[in-house]
Amino acid sequence: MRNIFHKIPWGILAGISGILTFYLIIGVYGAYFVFAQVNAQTGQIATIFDSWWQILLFIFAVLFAVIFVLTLTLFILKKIMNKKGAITYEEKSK
Amino acid sequence: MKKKVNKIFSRSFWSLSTMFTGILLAILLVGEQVAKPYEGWINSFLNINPFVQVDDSSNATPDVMYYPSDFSQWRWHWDEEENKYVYERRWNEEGLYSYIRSVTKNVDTEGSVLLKNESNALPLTEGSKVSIFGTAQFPSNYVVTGQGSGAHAANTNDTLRACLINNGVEVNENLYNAYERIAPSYAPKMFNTFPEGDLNYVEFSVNEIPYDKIESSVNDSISEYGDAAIYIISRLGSENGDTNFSASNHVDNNYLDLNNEEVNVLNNLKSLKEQGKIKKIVLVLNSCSSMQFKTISQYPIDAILSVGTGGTSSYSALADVLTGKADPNGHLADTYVYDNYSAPATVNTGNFTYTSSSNLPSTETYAHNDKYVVYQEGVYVGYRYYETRYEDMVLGQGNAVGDFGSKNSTGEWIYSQEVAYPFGYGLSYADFSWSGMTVSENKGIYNVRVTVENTSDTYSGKDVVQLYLQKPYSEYDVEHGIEKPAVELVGFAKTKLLEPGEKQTIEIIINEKEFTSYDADGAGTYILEKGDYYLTLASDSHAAVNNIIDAKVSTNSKYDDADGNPDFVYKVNIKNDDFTTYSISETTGNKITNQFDNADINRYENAGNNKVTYLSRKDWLNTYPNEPVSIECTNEGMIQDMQYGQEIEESEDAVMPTFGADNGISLIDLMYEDFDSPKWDLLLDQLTIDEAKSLMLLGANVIGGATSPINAPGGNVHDGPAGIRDAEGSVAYPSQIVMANTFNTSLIKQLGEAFGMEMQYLGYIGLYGPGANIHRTAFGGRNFEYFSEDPVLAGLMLKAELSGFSDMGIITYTKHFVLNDQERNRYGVATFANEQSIREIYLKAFQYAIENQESETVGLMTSFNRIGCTWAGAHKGLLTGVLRDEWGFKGSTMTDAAVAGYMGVNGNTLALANAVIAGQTIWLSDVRTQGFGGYENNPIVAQAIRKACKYNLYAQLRSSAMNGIKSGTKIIEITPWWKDALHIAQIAVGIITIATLGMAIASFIVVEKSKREISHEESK
Repeated sequence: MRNIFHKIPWGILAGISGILTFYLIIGVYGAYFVFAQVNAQTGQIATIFDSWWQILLFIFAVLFAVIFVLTLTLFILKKIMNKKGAITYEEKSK
Repeated sequence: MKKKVNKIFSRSFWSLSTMFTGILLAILLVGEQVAKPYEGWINSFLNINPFVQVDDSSNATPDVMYYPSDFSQWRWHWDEEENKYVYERRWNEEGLYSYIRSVTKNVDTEGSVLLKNESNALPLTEGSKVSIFGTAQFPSNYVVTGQGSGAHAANTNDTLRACLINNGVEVNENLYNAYERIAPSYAPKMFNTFPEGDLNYVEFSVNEIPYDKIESSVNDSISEYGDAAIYIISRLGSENGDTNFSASNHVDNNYLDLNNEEVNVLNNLKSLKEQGKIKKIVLVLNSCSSMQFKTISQYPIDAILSVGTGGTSSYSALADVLTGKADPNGHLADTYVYDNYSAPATVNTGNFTYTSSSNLPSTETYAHNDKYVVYQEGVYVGYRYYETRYEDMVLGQGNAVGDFGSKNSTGEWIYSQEVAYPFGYGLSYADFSWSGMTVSENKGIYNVRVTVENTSDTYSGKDVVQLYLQKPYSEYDVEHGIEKPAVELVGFAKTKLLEPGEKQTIEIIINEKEFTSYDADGAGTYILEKGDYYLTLASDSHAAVNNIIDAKVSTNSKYDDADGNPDFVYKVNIKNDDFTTYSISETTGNKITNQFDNADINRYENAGNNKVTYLSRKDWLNTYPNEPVSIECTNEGMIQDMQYGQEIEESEDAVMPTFGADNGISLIDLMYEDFDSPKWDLLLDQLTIDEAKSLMLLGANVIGGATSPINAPGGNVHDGPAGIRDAEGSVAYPSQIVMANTFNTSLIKQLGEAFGMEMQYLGYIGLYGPGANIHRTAFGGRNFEYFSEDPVLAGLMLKAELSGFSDMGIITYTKHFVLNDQERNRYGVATFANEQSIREIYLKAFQYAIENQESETVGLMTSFNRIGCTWAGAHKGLLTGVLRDEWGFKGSTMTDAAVAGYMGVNGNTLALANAVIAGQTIWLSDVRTQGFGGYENNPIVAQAIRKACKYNLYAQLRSSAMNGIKSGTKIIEITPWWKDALHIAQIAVGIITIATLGMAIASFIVVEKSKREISHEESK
């Protein structure tokens, strides 16, 4: 189990999910911004849930944000553990 | 060194970077395609008109101005950027805005209606010490305009306190400060309630400051500032929001009555007056529509002033009126009643769903396909109901007596217990007397004169003389369902400012055409019936009906509530029925026939089992609507009519028009040609389908132009009607109601001109406005954008305003054509009404402004609703039968915001083709990417496209968009800067992506190589 934890590239996963979260948030806000401007011209109101794909964008944004936080935490944990492992090895070798 | 190299060639860094930039590149590439359908909107948001004038002649004279303004001139000036003298149109901005504000202030003062002024409570004398109550005394809380597309910021630093002080009145500072501290938290509110999932629908709350929060300040200071307590009450209105919702903290749950906090303030003011701490109470009504007087009338208020929503000049005008610097000589454009539900139209106003239906297009946010509304009250809208029922009660006819429809009367319906202030009513600080009414007639033109004298010793003022007509209600009318209201306004005039003792003879001219009625059931056209017609001059609608009653009979009826004056009545006897003269349009010479049989349930061929009993004066008791009409949509024909698009009928005669020729004709070459000139055909032969798309399918705040050889300039258009919405620093104009209250057409023409000048100054050629629908009930959310409950007042005011706009070359898309008199379910609601009421009430204002006009208006906006089951924008009877064939309209007709499938967007190209054939010419959106869906290859559609383009080009030709264009001027379509920026970003990100990808590949190679070297060394 410990081996698997160390083998999984949490940093890469955090990077990927971070990038996706970044674009998805921009997508959610961008769509809202554009529709708000368009709708304002005709006295209508825009929300971030006007269409199915906006809802989908929002769901994915939340999902990847959670994955990002999770993988980043695991990446940091892995780094800390690696550091501890290295110190123990050094102490042992002394 | 190796470590450093390995760090630079980090595989994960370059892989993630490639991913990041790759996604960005994909977004930019896909984004361009996604943005394409919204190109027009993006341009409008960035205020870009992609159609640009280029002058290729060597001796350019750019100062050719077809619509010049008094506040601009062409002159040479030094351009520091270009380092040379340039010849440019320069504006006197200060002069322009000073002029505009003087006009709007005049409209505001003349549009203020003094409803009550006991013991000359107003005007306030100089040095008066007053206390101002109400959250609306602060600019952030005062309703300057309504909301929605008619919203506009006040754009002024005026405060009521400062304006009053400026006029010599002392204001209670202690109370003012107490209010000021908490006022920001008490602005009127508008919020979404999502009825049946409708994302846009709104309701309002008053949010008055509770009395206990200012009570201690009142107690501390009121004795010193008790000359008058001025209390301002505000009510909002908005696009997407009627005011007939249940307002829980209001009397009767009615938003247009007082709410608990307001009642509390008035109770306390009453108590302070009883204690002698304040001498008088002045109530100011700042409302988007008519408030009801059930509660207000119970308080000892000395003066009531209805000021509506006055825009930028609101406070300065109010201060002038309160202090007598200006005379409030407005008259009501609507009947003010004790209970707004006493209008029969309210029974069928709101949310109604077909009782049974099948196979309708599915309901969406912008398509309420299962909703309907029936105008069961017929022509009995506003005073036409109250005055007609009153006359029939007094004369004992038509089963008018009874408690049906009674809302405020104790027992049976009594006029004086239902109507607080009649239509046309209004006081002035001056008093007037009228004398010497004369009427002369020449070939059907009636000239009515009367002398008005200011009998006041002190005050100058203006008086309004209103001319009403009563038509005979005959057996023929009863038989054919024609209704004749007891009185109908047919004309009016306002005096100049008369000094005390000064007289003026004024004149009102009307055409015999006003004597006609629409007979849908019998002759199927306008008819002039034999009988006695009564013309009367009166100060309001109730005085008019009393004049006529007293001229006709001597009555002792207990219902007769006032003496009339028969001296101001003139009887015209028409000896013979004439069913032919007015059956021909005097504008076009075309025959006038029924166009709205499909909107009248009783005449609609696909109505199935549906039936409507319209309100009729032949039998009030048995025709008064006690409950809403129930309609089912189960008939196959009716279901088919509700679908998005109807099959296009084949025609063997139809031939494809010529497209794409080059006859060397530019739009400017037609400047002085008639609409029917053959040169138009040469111009239109040059059209390409892409240009037709630009001219017709681009109306997203920029109307499309056409490049060489047609050279049509296009231009920027925007909301209205309260001002150029979103334009920084621009003026908020008085609402249409305030304009109508003035009863002053020359002043409103001035306002139209001033507004037009500002539009030119800010670079706009068109306005989505003004509004000309009818105040069918007090609850219409957009009543503030429409003039009146009366079509003649609305029509004459609209005509005056449009005339001013036209003189400045502004295309006014007068809205909403037609029967869009409520906001609930406005997207696609099926609206049923009989043809007499459609023509005599709802179309008439538009007709006045379009037919036989001195200054041609070239724009119109069709409404969201259906007329019967057909969308207004695809109703051929409306857009071609009436508008073009009867009224001779030559301008362009724009849709309201094209957001729903039934309007021919979202891929519904058959619906779009139907609308083009019906006479629709521009879509308020950018639908170019969708296009005509191949229907442009159908000769019938192609001919309609060509015709629509002609109307749109004609509108541009008669607009300020042509300023600066002369023979030789070319129109080119530029690429907007944001598209260039997008392309540059695509290239830049593309290069970065390739670079990061290269680094990623290199890092894999380097790391692999280094791994191999390490393992090689280890193996050694």
